[in-house]
Amino acid sequence: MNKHLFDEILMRVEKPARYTGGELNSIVKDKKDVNIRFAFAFPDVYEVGMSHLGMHIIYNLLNSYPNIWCERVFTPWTDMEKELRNHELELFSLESNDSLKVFDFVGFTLQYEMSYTNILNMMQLSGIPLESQNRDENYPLIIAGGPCAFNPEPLHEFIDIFFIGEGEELLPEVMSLYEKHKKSGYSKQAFLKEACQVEGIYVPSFYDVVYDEAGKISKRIKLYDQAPEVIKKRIIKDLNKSYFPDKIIVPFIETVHDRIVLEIFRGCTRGCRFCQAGMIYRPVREKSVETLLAQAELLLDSTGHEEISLSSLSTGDYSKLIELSQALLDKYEERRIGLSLPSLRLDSITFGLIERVQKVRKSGLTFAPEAGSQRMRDVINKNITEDDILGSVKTAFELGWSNIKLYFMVGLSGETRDDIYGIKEMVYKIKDAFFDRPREAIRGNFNINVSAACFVPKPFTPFQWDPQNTVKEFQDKTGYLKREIRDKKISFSYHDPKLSNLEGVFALGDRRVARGMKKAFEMGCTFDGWGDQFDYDKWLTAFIEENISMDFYNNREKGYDEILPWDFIDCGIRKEYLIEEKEKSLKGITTDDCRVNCSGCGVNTSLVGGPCFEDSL
Amino acid sequence: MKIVFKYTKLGKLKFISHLDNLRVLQRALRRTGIMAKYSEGFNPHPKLSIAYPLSLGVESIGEIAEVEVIDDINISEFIDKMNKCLPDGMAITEASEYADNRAVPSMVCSQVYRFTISHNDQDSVDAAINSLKGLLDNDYPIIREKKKKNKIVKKEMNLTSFIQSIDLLSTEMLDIDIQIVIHVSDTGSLKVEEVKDFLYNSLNGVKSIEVQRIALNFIDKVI
Ligand code: SF4
Repeated sequence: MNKHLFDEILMRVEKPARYTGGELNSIVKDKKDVNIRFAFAFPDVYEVGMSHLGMHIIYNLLNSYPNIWCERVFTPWTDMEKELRNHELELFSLESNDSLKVFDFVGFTLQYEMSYTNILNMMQLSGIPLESQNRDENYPLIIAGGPCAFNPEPLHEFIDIFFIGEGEELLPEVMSLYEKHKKSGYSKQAFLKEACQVEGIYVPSFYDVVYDEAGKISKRIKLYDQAPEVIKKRIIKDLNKSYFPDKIIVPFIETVHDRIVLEIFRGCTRGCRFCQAGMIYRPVREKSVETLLAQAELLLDSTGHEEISLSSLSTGDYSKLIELSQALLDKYEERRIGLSLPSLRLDSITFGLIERVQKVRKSGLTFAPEAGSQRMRDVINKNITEDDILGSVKTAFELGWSNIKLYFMVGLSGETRDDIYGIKEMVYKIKDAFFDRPREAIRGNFNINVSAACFVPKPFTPFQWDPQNTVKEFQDKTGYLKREIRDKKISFSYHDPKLSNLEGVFALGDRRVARGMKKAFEMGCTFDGWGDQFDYDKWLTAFIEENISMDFYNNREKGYDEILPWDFIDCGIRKEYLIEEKEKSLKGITTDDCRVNCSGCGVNTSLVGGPCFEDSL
Repeated sequence: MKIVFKYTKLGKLKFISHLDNLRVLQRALRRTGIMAKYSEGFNPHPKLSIAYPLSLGVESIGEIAEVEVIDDINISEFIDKMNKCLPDGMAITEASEYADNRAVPSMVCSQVYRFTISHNDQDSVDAAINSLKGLLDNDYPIIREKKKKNKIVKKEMNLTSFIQSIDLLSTEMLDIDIQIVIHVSDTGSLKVEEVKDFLYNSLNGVKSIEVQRIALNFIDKVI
């Protein structure tokens, strides 16, 4: 690219350092020395993508192979996109500034459904045909993985290969297979045929789907007879032995999370019924304190970040949380490196620890009761009681906290007015708990932030058969809460029901929604996850024009016998288990935490080959 | 112990903002393991400050910053350690201990820039060289807009009164290099873009202008 023009463009766009590369620890190799060029593509802006730990792991993992050069590319913000289009420039990687077209692989990470149109946009901006069938050997292979790959069908036309499950071992396997093919004369079809034999790999073009008159899936047909019937997810058995980078890129500009992220375990033992991550990442696998201390040291020394954040689905459940946190504080308090403990469960808060953490950095307290009534919490298997919650906040108030954040969901299966009202009741009880204390004990500027998300049923959860609330129903519920919660000290916010509605369509969609997505993209929809860019009416029009009913996917109750679009993927959990869980939820019966009692979801036999815990039966 | 250091901001780094620049320096310092002193208060931050902001898109070979560290350190060791931890394009070229009580940013009195002006033809080059001397003879009004409580307030200033000197450094083919010293006072200073516009409007046949900050001047010796 012409340097003068590039400089001129950078002077015109917002946050130009999004596009310059050259950050500390970014990796530049000589093209002559490598035979595989890989573009790690994050379908969102730089600040969001760079905050994502998975990206740093894959980037460094691939670059640890001398024959592979992995580079990065993010979605250009709309101002940069205009510049690229006006000057007929192609979207480029940050390291070499080459167009994505020259790469062997462009790998998209699927973190949230609302980023799908950005994927299409990034391909188009690079001059890469959107449909897999229109890409021959002259184009890169478009691959994708991440949590949303567990229902890959809405993207089936566009992606050549999906990676199902954890990629740390799978990705290098596929790379070495590709290298073999490249050396002996690469043909896309021949490569895909061999790749689909690798466990965890899904090649959508080898299958077709037949629908019945009602529009439901009647069967899947294989177009390549050797393609596997079922795609089994991949997991890393021992996280202590899996790859971990010894340095990560330090962005010049502020990113969403400017800190090092320590993933302390994968999976979750709670079994909340709405939570897809809790199901698809089973079994729980912890890293040892030793491993984590070593990883923290490497990352801090190479980045100079001033904060460590412990990350997992349920940080309070880590069996050695106190030991780890204390070790980290002992080691780094002096260097003024803060520790943040996000997503601590209400019932597992260890106040002494939090207090110590707060000495370095002050923050508000966050709780996620998810539902307002006990009945509803039993339905979703969120095993905490009101007493737990009130007890925790009272302790927090006594210790001097006055800022509380509360997360709820609305639109949960079988929800009634009373359940919604329960949200208000709980919030007011918390407020009362703050002021029902001796005058002299009341300190600080009291404030509660209540946030309500609109529930989206997700594949591989017991609620996968449930209809999502309609936009209207969501609006009624959020509107009701908005009217009910009227207090200067309480602020109430909620997610956009329209956005959640569309998220539901893609989470639960089959192959046919791909057309609607492409249409909406052609009509100008991108950055749908960004409130100011989201244009719901355009989406409605696109789906009408393509003759696709959104309601069919997200507002319809499905039978247990219906073939669901993602049924061909084996995430380790038996379908019967999900049905059992669904039935129990209808009766308000809870299920034990895996640590207390194994409820036999199937992961132990299908993936672990033994009990999930050393001490479990 | 207080240290004042001079550093470069070249290449891609010209696209990082003042605040991001500060962050890059802070992080580099952390990576060296040299402990900075921290401010008191609710949100303590390391005592590190940049003498004078640099406009986005402008390179520099003469940035100045000041840092206070807890333990005394040998200056050349400080430079070595920092340079190992700074990204490409940023390097410390000079440093010294600073014993003065006055904060370095408060002592800036002028900024020195090199403008490389590319012309379309030789005639324009000759004309430009001849007119350099007279450039400051006349007033050159510029308008600044400021938002004040939803109202846009316009303020007129005379650009040439802020320019202390314009000197020819060198000529090469159709390029001339000139050095411009811009006054910094309580009432402010000029922006690079304003000076660029001034040059475009005052000279003929200018194709493009590149700018680099060369140095900052202080009311007293800081480094
Ligand atoms: S097999 Fe049992 S312990 Fe393992 S994840 Fe499933 S329910 Fe939990």
